Amino acid sequence: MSTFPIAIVMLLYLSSIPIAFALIAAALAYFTFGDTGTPPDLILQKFITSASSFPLLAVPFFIMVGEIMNYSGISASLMKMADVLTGHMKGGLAQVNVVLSTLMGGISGSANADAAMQSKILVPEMEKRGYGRAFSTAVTAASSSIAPVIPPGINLIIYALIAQVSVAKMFIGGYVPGFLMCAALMVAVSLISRKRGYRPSREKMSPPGDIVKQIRESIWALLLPFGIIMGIRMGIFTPTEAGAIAVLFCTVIGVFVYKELKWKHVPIILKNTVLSTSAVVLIIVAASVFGQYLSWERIPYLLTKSMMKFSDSPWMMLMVINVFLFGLGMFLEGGAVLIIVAPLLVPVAKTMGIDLIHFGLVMIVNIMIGGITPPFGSMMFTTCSITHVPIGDFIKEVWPFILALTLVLVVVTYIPSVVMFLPNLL
Amino acid sequence: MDFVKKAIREFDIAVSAAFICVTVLVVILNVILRYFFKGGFFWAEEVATCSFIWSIFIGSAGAYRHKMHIGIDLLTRLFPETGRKIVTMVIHVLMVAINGYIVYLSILLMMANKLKRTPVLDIPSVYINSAITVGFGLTTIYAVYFLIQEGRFLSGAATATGDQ
Repeated sequence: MSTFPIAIVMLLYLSSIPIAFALIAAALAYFTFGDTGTPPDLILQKFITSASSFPLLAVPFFIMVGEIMNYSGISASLMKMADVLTGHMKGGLAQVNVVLSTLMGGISGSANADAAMQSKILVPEMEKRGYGRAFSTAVTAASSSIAPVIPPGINLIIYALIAQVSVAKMFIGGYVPGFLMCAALMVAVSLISRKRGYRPSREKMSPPGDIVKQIRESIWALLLPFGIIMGIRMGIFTPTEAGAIAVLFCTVIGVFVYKELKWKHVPIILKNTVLSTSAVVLIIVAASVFGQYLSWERIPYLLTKSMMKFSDSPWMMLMVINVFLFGLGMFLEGGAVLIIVAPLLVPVAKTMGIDLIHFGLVMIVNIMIGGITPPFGSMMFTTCSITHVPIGDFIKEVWPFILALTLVLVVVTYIPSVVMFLPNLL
Repeated sequence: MDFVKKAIREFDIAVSAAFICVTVLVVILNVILRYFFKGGFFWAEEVATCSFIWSIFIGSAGAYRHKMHIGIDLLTRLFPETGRKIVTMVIHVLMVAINGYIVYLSILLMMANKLKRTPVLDIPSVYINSAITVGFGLTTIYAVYFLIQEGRFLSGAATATGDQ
C-alpha cells in the first residue's frame, strides 16, 4: 500500500497550503508518479462529476439563506425572541447568546457565520453590561457550535449525501442533540454567572403576553425549519428544492414582513454566499479526487478490516472514533473533517451495525467541539479575530463550555435512543 | 457607478454570483411551475448544476484572492519576519505549480472529450469542462501575482536594510 499521498497532504497542509489544494496535489502526484496506469487527466474528470450533483445544490442554497437572514431582520427578530425568553436569568445576555444560536440554527446552518454575526452584535453589548470580553467571546464561539446541529444544517446535508441516508431523518435527528447542547451551555453559563454576579438583562420574567406577542412577530422564522422538514418528508420538494424555496421565503419575509431587506444588500449577500460555497464545495471536489487514490489503494476496506480486528465492540469503536475526530478537529475545520473522514468511517460504522443517522450526529457534534478547541479551532479564530481577544485569554474562559459540550457528546454517543427516537417516528 | 466599479474590481466574484443566481432561480422556477402549473423544464437540473460548476470554480479563484480557503498558517507563524517571507514565497511557488498543473491537465481532458456532449441539452461538454481551466487558470494568475508582490517586498526590504 502506498501512503505517500497522505504524507503529501499533511506536509502541504501544515505548510499553509489550503486543505483543498493539498488534497488535489497529493492525488495528482499519486496518479502522475505512481504506476496506476490511469492518466491524471482522467482523474480530473472527477472535478466535474463530483460537483455536478443536484442534491449538492442544497449547500449553496442554505448558505445563501443564512446570509439573507442577517440582512432581512430575521436575526434581529430572533434576538428579541431570545431576550424575551431568557433575559431574566442570571447572566441574561450570555443566556440570550446561547438561545439565539439555537434559534438561528433553525434557519442558517453554519457555525462560522453564526459566530461572526454574534461576535459583531452581541459581544460589544455584553461588554457594555459588564461581562468580560474574553468570556463573551468564549460564550459566542461555544454557542455557535449549536447552529449546525439544529436543522437545517449544511453539515447534516453533506453527511446525508456521503452516507446515503435520508436528509429528512438527518435533519430531524439534529433536534435533540442540538437542544441538549443548548441546555448544557445554559447550565454552564448559569453556574459561572452566579459565581461572578453577572446580572440579568431584564428585571423579571417576561409576562406571557409579551412572549406571545414576540412569538407572533418571529413566527415566520420559527416555523421555517418545520416547513422545510415537513415539506421534504411529505414529498412536496426535495432537500435541494427546499433550500431554494427557503431562499425565496426569507427574501419575501425580509422585503414584505420585516421590510429591512434592500437592493443594496444583494451584492454583499451574493459575495458572502459564493465565497463560502466555493470554499466548501472545493473541499468536496478535492476529497472526491483524493478518494480516487484511497479506493485505488483499497484503503477504506483495509481500514474497516483492521479496525474490526482491533475491536468488535461498537462501544469501544465509537470511543476510538470520537477521540480520533476530536484530535483531527483541533487542526482542521469541522466541515472539512466531515467531508474527508466520513467516507472512510461510514463503512466501519455500517459493518459494526451502528445506525448511520446516529453515527452522523455523533460525528457532527464531535467536530463542532473541535471548532472551539485550541490550537486551530475555526470558530475560536473567527470570534477572537473579530473581538480581538488573545487566544490565551479565550482558552481560560472556554474550557467549562468544552466540558459541557463533551458531556453532551458522551450522552449522544452512548444513549442512541436519545438521538434516534425522533427520526424513528418518521 | 459605484456598483459598476465594484463589479469590475471583483469581477470573479461577480461572475460567480451571476451563475449562482441562475442556479437558484432555475430551481425555484421549476418548483413553482411543477406545483402550480403541473409543468417544469426538462433541462432545469442540467442548467442548474452546470451554472453551479461555473460558479464554484470561478468563485474558488475569488476565494483564493480573498484568502477564504480553509487552511492553517502554522509554518509561517513559527518563523521570524524574513524567514516567514521566504516560506510565504515557497508556498506561492507551490500554489503556482499545483494550479498550473491542473490547468494543463484540464486542457488535456478537454482535448480527450472533444466529441462528448451533455446528456440532456446535448451541448458540447467542453462548455462545462472549461470551467476548470478558467477557474484554476485565474487561481494560477493570482498566485503568480502574490508571488511577484512578495518578491518585490522582499527585495525592497533587502535594499532598505542595505542602505542602513
